[in-house]
This record gives sequence, C-alpha cells and structure tokens, in this order.
Amino acid sequence: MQAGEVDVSYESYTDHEEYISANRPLIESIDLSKTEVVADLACGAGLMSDLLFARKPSLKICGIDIDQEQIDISARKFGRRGVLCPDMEAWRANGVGRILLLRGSADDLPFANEEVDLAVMGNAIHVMPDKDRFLAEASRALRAGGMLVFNSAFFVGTFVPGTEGLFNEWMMEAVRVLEEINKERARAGQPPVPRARNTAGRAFAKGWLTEDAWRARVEKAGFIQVQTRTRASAMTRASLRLVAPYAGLATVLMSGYPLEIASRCLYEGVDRAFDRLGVDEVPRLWLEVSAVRQ
Amino acid sequence: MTTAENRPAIESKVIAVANETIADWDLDLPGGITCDTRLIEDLSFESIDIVQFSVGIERAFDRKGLPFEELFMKDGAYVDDITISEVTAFLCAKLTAV
Repeated sequence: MQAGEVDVSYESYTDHEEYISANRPLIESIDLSKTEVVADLACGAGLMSDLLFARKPSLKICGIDIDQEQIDISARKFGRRGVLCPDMEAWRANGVGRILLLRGSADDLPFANEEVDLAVMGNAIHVMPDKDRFLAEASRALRAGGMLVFNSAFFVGTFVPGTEGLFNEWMMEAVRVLEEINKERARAGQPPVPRARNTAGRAFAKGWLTEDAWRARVEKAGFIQVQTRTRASAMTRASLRLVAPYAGLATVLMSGYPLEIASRCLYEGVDRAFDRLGVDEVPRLWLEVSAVRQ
Repeated sequence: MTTAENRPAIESKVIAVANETIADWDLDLPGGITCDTRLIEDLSFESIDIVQFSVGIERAFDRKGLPFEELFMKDGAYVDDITISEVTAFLCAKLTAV
C-alpha cells in the first residue's frame, strides 16, 4: 500500500539486510533436527519462514497473520517459488517443503492439539493483546518437547542507555514537520491537518515486559528450559527510514492523523533526528526467548 | 535568579502549554490544569500528545534538544504518568544546567 509518495508497507523494511540480520541469529540458534511442522505466527511478509526454509527446505510451515495484506505479500513471494499450499487439507497431506498461509490471530490457532513441532514469532509478541492466552494457545498446538521461539525489539531494556534520545528526537522532528505542513496550509487558507482523538491507547501504556518478566510469563504458561538473551542490532538511518512510514507504526505513533500525513512526517523526521544528533546509527537490543513445551 | 525563584514562572508556562495542547478537546477539568494534573490520567494524553506537548515546551522556553527521555523513562521503561509538577521540576533542572 502506498500513501502519497511514501511506502507505508512493512515489506521494504523486512526485506532490508539489517532487519534480516537481526532475525537470522535467532533462527540459526534453533535445533531443527527433530522439527518438521512449523507454525510461523504473525508471519508478516514471511521472513522467519524464509530463514527456516533456507536452513531446512523440507520443513512444513504454516504462516498465520492477522493482516491480509501481509498474507498477500507472503503468498506472492512463496507462490513465485512454487511452494505455496492452497489449503489446510493439502498442507496436512502434502506439505513437506511447502508453506500454507492463513489469515488469523496467533491466539486462536487452526492446529489440532500437539500438531506442531516448532512455533516461531518474529518481533510481534509485544503486540499480542493477551500474552497469557497466546502462550497457552501456542502450548496447546505444540507437541511435548516442541519449541516456542520468539524475539522482540519492544521490551523494557530495548534501548541501550544513552540512545533513547534519538527516538525521542525523531518523534519531535516528525511533529515539527507536521507544524510546517500546517503553516503551509494556513498560508493557502486551509485548516490544519485534522486529527481524530481516541484512536489509540493512552501514552506509555505499551505493556512492555522486562527480560525476567518474559521468562516468568513463559514458565507460568508451562514451558520448561526457558532461555532468554539479548542481542544488539544496529538501527541505522537507512533502516529507520524504511520502517518510519509503515502504516502499522504511523497509526500508533501519530494516532488520529491521516495516514499519508503521519507517514510523511515520520519519514521526514528520520534524517532530521539523525542529523541533529550527528550519528548514523544507534544500537538497539533485541530480546530472544526459546522454551520447550512440557 | 535561582531555580526556586524561577519555578513559579516555569510552572506557569508549562500549564499554558498544556492548556494550548488540550484547547479543543472538550475535557471536563474542574479547577483547570494545576501542578497536580496528570498528563495521562487527567488529560488523556496519547503518545503523539506527549510529543506535541514536548515540542510546545521547547518552543515556549526557546530551547531545543531537551532530554525528555529522562522525564518519560525510568530504568528502561516508560513511566506510568507525569504531573505538571514533575515537568516543571525537570525543566528547572535542565534549563539552569550549563
């Protein structure tokens, strides 16, 4: 989807080498020797499935995402490779080396009990509305000994101390861009950019957890051998430029403003923020969690 | 002037910026905005409101680059809420710092 001249999709960001590099180590850390059936939860544009197929082409993957646009992007990508399954029946019967893509919520999975060997979720668990429900559903779908693996760049501790200012400055520059747009509109005799209130939650209510809190949550859901770690990944000017106008981000960060305007402001704010701080990248920590289903 | 002497003037400006931010929101605020007013619980600020408020503060005090992240984050986590008084204290500390 495009809004004006700015790309508001997530695809360009997830195709970017930096984003791939941030996710690859997690996938490479998984023991796939006993893994055949994989659930790629909140699969987005299919990056985790891509990385998994690269390691083990015989996997039987089902990707699930709440967003039909993401499913369509993934379907085009895997369709071009001839590995797309048409439906669950075909996937169950003949899904080896293929992927089935379904629209749905990761906390209401289409799998039978203990049907899945590995459930992965790439950088999305922080947006699950009920994390306990999600963990319980993943546990139900996994076989005993199956693995749950996820990562997130949105947790308490994700900002390396001293780097928070960049993200704060980016948002403030985005607002300054908005103010400039409003000045242009005023000169043209137009009203300010309209804003609908109450389209997003209250400020700071992000529901982010600490690394320790995530470990406790996963253990509470009945998983064992829970391992957590953080890994630093660079957030560069180029990658923030790609993700800044993403519709899913713009509608939250600049809630209530028209998407086209919000995306433009966030996009144009990136260079201004990096320039102001005189840097081209900052490190950001990703949390990685793996656990075994009892 | 010392920070203590400046504080009433700073708080007055902070309240003015908050009033400007919520000007057309139709909020029910008996007694108006005071030093005890909470940005989120009382004024229903969303994330973008916090940012617009911060930009308004910088404009009101003719300063750029104030480290608002020190006000909004503690130990890597976002705070639950912020009062006008806390914003004022932050500004008293930062505006007088060389």
